Amino acid sequence: MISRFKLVFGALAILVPVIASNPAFAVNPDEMLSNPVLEERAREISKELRCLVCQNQSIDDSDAELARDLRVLVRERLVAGDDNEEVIDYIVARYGDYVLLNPPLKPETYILWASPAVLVVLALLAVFAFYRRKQREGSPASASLSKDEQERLDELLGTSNDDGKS
Amino acid sequence: MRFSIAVIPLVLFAALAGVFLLNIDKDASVVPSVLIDKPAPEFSLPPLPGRDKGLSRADLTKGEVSVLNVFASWCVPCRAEHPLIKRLSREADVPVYGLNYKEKDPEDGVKWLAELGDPYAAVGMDLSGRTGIDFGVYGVPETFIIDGTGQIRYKHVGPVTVEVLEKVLLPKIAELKG
Amino acid sequence: MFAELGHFALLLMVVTGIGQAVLFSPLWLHASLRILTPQRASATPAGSPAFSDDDDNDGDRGGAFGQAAAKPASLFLLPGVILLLGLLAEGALLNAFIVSDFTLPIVSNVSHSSTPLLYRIGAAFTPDGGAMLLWLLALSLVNLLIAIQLRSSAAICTDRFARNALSVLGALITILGVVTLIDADPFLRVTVAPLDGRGMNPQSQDLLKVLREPFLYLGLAGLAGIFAMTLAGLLDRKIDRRFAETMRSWTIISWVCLGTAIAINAYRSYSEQAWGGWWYWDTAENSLLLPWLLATALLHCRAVLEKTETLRAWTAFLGITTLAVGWFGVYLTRSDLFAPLPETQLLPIDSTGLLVAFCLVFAVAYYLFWRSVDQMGDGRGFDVISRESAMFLNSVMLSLVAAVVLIGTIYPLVLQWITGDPITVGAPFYVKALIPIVLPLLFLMAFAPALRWRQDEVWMIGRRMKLAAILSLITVLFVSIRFIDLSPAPLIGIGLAGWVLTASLSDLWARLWRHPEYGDSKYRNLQLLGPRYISMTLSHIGLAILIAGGSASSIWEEQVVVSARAGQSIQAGPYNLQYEGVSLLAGENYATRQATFILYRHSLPVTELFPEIRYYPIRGVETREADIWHGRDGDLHVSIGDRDDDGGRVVTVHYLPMMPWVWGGMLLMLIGGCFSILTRVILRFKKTGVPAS
Repeated sequence: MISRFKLVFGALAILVPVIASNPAFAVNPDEMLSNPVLEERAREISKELRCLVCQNQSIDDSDAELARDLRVLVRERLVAGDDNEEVIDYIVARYGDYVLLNPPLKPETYILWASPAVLVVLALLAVFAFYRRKQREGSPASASLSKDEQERLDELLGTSNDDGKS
Repeated sequence: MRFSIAVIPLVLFAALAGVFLLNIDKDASVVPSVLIDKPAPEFSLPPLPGRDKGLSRADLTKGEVSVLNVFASWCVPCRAEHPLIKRLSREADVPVYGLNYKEKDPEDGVKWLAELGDPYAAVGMDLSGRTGIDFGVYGVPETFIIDGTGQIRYKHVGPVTVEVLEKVLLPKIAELKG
Repeated sequence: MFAELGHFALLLMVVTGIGQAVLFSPLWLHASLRILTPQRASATPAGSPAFSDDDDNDGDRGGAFGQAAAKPASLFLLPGVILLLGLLAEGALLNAFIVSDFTLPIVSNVSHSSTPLLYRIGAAFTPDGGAMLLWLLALSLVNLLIAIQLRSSAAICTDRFARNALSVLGALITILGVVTLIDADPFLRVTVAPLDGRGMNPQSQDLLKVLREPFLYLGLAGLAGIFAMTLAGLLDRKIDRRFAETMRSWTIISWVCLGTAIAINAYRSYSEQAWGGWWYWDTAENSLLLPWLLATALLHCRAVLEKTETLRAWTAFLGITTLAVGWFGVYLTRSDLFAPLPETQLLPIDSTGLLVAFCLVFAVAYYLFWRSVDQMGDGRGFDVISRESAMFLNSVMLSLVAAVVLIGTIYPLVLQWITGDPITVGAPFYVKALIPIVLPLLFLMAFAPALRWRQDEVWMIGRRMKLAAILSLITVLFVSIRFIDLSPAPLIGIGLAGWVLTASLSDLWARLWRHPEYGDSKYRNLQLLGPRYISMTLSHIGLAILIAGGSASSIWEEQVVVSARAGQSIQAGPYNLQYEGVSLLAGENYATRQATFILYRHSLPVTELFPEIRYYPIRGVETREADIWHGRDGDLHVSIGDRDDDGGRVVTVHYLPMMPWVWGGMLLMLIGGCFSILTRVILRFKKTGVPAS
């Protein structure tokens, strides 16, 4: 077992060089561009790009070293005169669509992008069919209740605390 | 009609379960490279301190199959795979090049190789990590197999293990060579 | 020694679970009979229990035992024993962590002799074996509570229903126990113990992270309780009002527990990240969110079922599916499917058993659903314009949200398996895909309190909602005029939040002050409203506040990144931070660089803030801990980075106006849920006195 004393001092001994030399931090002041328009574009682009070694974080959010390198690269490309799309293409050419937090529209992602709309339409159809069927079975107001049902209804209306119309 | 609606969950569930059960042993944590079957990027890296030969794209297009191994002295798994890289360079009979990735101190790579042995035909020093990015490196160690025309044909992410070496890398190299 | 005892307890738990599954109900016999002879089941007339009378006649040993075991007194016996065994096993595991018994690989992999006691205990929940054991313990607790509940409410549910539900729970305990023993046995020993452990993942060394796990697994266990009741209800073809009443507490308990786990998770990433983000849509977060969304849907359609006995199939479907997504989420986070880097995997992880068990359990459940559901009939229904209708639509839309999140989570994985093409589905996708569903959901939500049960008139609602509509329009107008260059999305968010908020409040106001049926005493009026109404209003207001806070903080956030020197002052929003410098300190098992900042508001000192960079030598990992001041008008979020080349310290200050609303809103939603449970418990005790033994 390591004693507390040894542990802490061991840690301090290791810590000093690690912190002195570890440059990783999300958007350091020394990375930032002096041109505020370009810097704003750089932040915009960085938010769209995934930090490869993290879970769904953008390189703008990440402390990882690679994310920092990519941020610097994005800024270099902007300074070199690339527009936003060219910068993103530059990164995608090296790392693939995997780096795009917003999955691009292509045959492989048609199902993904279509799914919300398809689900909404299916749900609308189902809900519509549900109400149609209920209506065909008789509207709730006119349906004659069985004795048991009437009892239950009375019980509900009597005990429930809201002011339902009876 | 109710029958058909009630069967939907069963079908969807079966489909999903099927996909997951069929792929249970596939490793999805490795991101396949987009650079496979594409020419290796243009680069020219300086040598390690005290050496005179660096590494550039010209080395990879000499007409023979080659291996490019990305390593760093600060990377723990690199240390673990190093003996296997040595074995690879002995057994595969192809040049194994080293890309020394993002050392904090240029001397670190030299010391590391002096301590563990140097299996590399040539080593380029990528202090900025920019060549690494051009190669799509995201986790060191990574190992590329490049054919004689300079096309990247295979990439392994993570430490090379005995199994990877014997079942994947060596057969792949043999296939490309012959 | 203790570990062997725990191992034995776990083994016995599996055996007792089998006992409970088999003895409480001859269900298994019937299930197999039905699969062999499907015509028999379909020939049974709709609505009548399929095998009601066979039980007593078949003279089978299991059946006879089933009858014996189901006698009220013995209903607790097996669940009680299982809970004791579960406590014993968990105790043995905790003991191994507390005394740092490194002959157990589970301990040596995630703990270290220098890890503080609290986190040694917390570390027991993080590895696969520990998490599964925690789940089992939560499940056996729920098991006993359900046994008690079903017995004391014998008037409500049939004996047969109780036995079937407990039998399903027994089976679940057995299955998860077997998975634990096969996949991730926590009590395995090695003969040669390492000198010390590998240390805990520093990311998990946090009180909140430790608390998250029990809430998560308690929530999942509650969902298992609902699942068991649903299967029992399906077996009886009785998904009715009594069924809805029986499972009411469990929907709320699961909802609160899962919600707490989500809130903890969000706050934890908020205090860890340099950028004040609190939701990244990653797999772990999504797999918490999914069961919570469906639990919310279930909460609502259960109420409709209770009122009108409509939506039987939908409630039963949600009762099964909520556990399914919860379980699947556990599988996704426990397996290595989403590990970002191969080298981050410290251990070979095998969650095959969990997946196989998942397929088995839910194949049976959905099969049962399919077989039973069209024989159940449905209630009389409700008008398109009624509170039931709003709740039903709400549950549909929440399920849609869950479906989209599920697709977004597994799509990259499935695509990569099929085509080998890796893609990422990140926040931009979820925002684009969910907004069209969430906006109508919020819009409808505001109507819920004002709508009457069963039937309502459009013009009546218009009259009730008038005030809310005007107020929320004024809010939107004010905000859009005051801050002209706003993008529409957050503006709509604020507007809808205001709409829900004012609608809830004006309805409350109307009921308290203006309703003819209510008297003059406002306190009495409040009592008349009933716990359900109050609980709903609290939760809805909480969500509105959460959305308003989230939208506002995303618009008006201010971020300052500077390279600071001691004595330098940094301006952010109404705050002024003075940087005092960094000191090197020793934590219990880490070394830390702690910066000191003095926070001023309008040049008056408010507090001191201490963001840190910690270094954990055992794993060689650094973590960043931001420090946050929750002010009246917003959060001030400070974190520090490294020293840059010319001696300054990188300081990131984030001023997030209205961010406390996000946390307050989450808290209010949870309080709303707790209120409902607590009043129910209190009322019950008042009515019956202390439940008789």
